[in-house]
Amino acid sequence: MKNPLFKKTEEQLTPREEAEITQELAEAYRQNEISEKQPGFQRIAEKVKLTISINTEAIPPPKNT
Amino acid sequence: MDLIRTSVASGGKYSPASRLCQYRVLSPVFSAMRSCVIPAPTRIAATFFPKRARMAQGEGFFDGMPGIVAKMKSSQHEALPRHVFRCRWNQETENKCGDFLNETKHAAPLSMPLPITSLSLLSRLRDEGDDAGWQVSWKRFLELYHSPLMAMATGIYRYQTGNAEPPEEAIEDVVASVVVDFFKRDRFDPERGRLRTYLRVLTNARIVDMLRKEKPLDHESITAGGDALTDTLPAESPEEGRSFQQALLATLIEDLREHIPLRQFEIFEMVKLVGMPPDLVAAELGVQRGVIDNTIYKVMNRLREIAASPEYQEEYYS
Repeated sequence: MKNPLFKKTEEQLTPREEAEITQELAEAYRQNEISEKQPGFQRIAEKVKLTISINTEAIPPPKNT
Repeated sequence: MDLIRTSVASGGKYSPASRLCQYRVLSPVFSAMRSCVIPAPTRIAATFFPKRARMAQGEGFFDGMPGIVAKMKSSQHEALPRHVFRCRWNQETENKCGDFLNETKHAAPLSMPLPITSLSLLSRLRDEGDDAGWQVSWKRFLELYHSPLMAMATGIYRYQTGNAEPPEEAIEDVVASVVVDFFKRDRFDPERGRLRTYLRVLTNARIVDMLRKEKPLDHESITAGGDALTDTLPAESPEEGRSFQQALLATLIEDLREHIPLRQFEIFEMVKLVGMPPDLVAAELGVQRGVIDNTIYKVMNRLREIAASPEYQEEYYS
């Protein structure tokens, strides 16, 4: 079923559709706000940081000319 | 500093209920920050906070800002806490605020645009130029797409191993690699393909790499199958689809935040995202109820305009 949020903008939203959109946006917003607390998030962030730092160290600094 | 004083004198006032500085004070300050030529960590902090409209009472925006900037500088910009939007307005705050703005005025010029997180700009985030912009970008990306990436990696692992249960650490390794790849490789182009497809291909490649490296004898089909395995992807699971759609809506909200005045977003956030009654929001912000209704109407129209872009339409529906 098509999400009413993605209906053509010239089409009027019904109150029910607007309520549905609101509910979905609020849920997405809430999930995003707690993303850092989700299982594994911090460990993944640490792994990304570690990979970045290793890659950065592997690149020799530019020589001064 | 004059800007802030003027702002306080003309529009800013204390909220009778909370004694917190009202939005109308901070709005022009943020505008000033955005237009200022400021150093990378400060610029990122200034950009970052409007996106994090978290209201932690008792903690001041400008009270925290110098410490945060210093911490960011000393720790390679790793400290980007979710923070506050409003501040207690007193002489001490004003002095701190003045120091902060002075710092921004005397900073070296930068030609780079402020980092923005939106679907259409995800590819640009990878190459923001300086290290600080990059740090913010990947963290924000991970926040937005952590859940769909986990679901994606789990589904693909099961598919590639004949429904074996993936070790948690392996999935986390894969997701971390995908995030690094996404920001390191210059391949994703929204005009050439969908983000979700691009992420699925990347995830699949990392899973296959991992399985081949890990236990080749236990995964004979993978070694025997050769590159054919990297060419086939499992069907998207309902969980993965739902998770991606949520991440996309969160990205849409971020995009909206960049396209409307801060005050409008605050009203929209309080009413539509947090679920506060409009009357309460009107009282909290010291405006008439009609202002809240009009703002919500305008913002919803703007949101639908952004959502109507083909990019969002294509990404949302699998």
